[in-house]
Amino acid sequence: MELLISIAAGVLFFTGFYLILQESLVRSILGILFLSNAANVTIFSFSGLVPGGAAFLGESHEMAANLSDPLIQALILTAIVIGFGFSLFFLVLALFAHSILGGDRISEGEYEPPHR
Amino acid sequence: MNLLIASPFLIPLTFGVVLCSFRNSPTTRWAASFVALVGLCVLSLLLFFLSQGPAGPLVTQVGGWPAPFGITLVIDSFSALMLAVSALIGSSVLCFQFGERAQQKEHYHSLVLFLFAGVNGSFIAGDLFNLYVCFEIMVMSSFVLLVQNLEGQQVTSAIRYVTANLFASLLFLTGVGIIYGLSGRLNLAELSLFVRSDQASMMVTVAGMLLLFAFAIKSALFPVFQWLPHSYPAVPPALGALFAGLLTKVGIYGIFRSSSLLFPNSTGLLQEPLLWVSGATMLTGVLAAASQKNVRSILSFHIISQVGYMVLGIATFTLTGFFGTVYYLLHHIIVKSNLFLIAAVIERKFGSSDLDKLGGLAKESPWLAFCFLAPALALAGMPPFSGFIAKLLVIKAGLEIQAYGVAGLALLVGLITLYSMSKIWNAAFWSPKPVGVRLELTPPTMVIPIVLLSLLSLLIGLGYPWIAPLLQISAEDLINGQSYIEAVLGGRN
Repeated sequence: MELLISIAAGVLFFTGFYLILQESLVRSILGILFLSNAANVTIFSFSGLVPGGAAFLGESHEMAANLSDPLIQALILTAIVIGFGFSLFFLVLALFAHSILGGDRISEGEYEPPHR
Repeated sequence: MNLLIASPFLIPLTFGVVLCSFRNSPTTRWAASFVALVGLCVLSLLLFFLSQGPAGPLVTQVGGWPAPFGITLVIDSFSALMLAVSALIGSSVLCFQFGERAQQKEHYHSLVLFLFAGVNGSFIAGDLFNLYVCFEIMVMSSFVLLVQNLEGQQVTSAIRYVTANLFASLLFLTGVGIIYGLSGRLNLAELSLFVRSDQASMMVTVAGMLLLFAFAIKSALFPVFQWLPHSYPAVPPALGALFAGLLTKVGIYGIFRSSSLLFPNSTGLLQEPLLWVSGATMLTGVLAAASQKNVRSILSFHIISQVGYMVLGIATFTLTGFFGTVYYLLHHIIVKSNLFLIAAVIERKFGSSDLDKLGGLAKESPWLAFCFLAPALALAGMPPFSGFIAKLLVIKAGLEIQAYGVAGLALLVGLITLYSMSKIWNAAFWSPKPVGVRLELTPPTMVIPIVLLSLLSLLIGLGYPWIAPLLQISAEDLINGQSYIEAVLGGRN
């Protein structure tokens, strides 16, 4: 199971890095989303990965044998919610950029300090 | 839970949330933000002196859960110093912005206060995940502040800034997750104990490198600094002062804290790479700065080069080096924000920051000329200003560990910094005024913070014998780490 999750995380990281470096803005944002998922999956892989393991103990500690680490799940939840926030922001920024740049490409061009 | 210790985070957060509903009364918003930031300044100074007392670092557990199971907030004297300086910069920039108050966008005050909540939260966080969350708060607020003030083509700068910072945050998150997975701990003090014990494996240090890399992106260190010069010139000038003084320094704070707590035994592993990185950062930053033709671009590249000096101090892993970096942080935040505020005044007068469009300010505004000289010479490292002492300490630390190459490089970079500062001086102050340009007078609310910050940077330099003992404790705590661990885990809730 850990091998599978590690491979999944690796594929997600690979795709994320590749996409971030693309010229198209939407692909760049997709790259960030992939990386965010990759980070979450990586963290999840440390939580015990017991099939059917719940993250709480039950009244008479009956589930203690199959316990999944609850702190990991809390970390991932927080990370997912933060990811919602910045994905939303980035997408709106992309919409704004699209209306200004008239397209999807972040052009390289010469570095020039913007004139105000 | 001791509210006093949590207040550097709670005050700006509460004020920020409450001010969101005051959209139609700017007076309330200005007054409230000013009260919040000046109050934070006073509070942080109080916390600074408290944390130097016999009790050591101030610790509180959120919700009463004992360490290491709960969220710990720690204010040791280094954190308190950073809190105080950032609040000071916040108040100065706010005072400065009051002069251009007609141009403020919606929710400006709430966003700045949220930025401070994130910054302060990072400084007082006692565990890695809280540090991550506060970084995110800070970074998101900076995104919105940046994007609100864009003009047209600058949106590409914003996109670069957002991508680089999000990338760094995600790497940070991965690093935190891996460290937790390998050690079972998130609390910084506990991690520090774990790293020093026999059970620690090399893997935790390797995961720590992920953290260090994320902090390196945030502080704009050598191979990963390109987001800074692309985006900082697009930030409106006065806000640029806030960004320049705060955001990269939180990255340096992260490097400092993790070097002190998580890598105490990794000197052999870390020292060489960090020395190389600091040397490369110093050199590339200043060479790029010397070739720019725009005031704010020059200053932005200087941030990179000065950050290299701070990492040099950390890389030496000696008391002198850590003390040098603490003093350098103090000196640099004040000087850099001051220079950006001055650049804002210059841009306001001439309508542009390009060097060839400026001139004649030494005659027109002698006060501005004097106020520019103080931080400019401080940045370049001329005695008796604070920069001289800061560079001296850091270079001395480099010589102590026999890193002669980097120390020599640091001296050379100081010379080139002087050259680039003199470029601005010549273009803006010393050369004759361009024909047909009428210069506006600067309102007093813009003059006061600049004058105050210049005086302060002069005082920090001249008053070094009085300031040094105060900072000595911070440096000793950082190099030692024991007092931090004892304060958090020694049952002092």
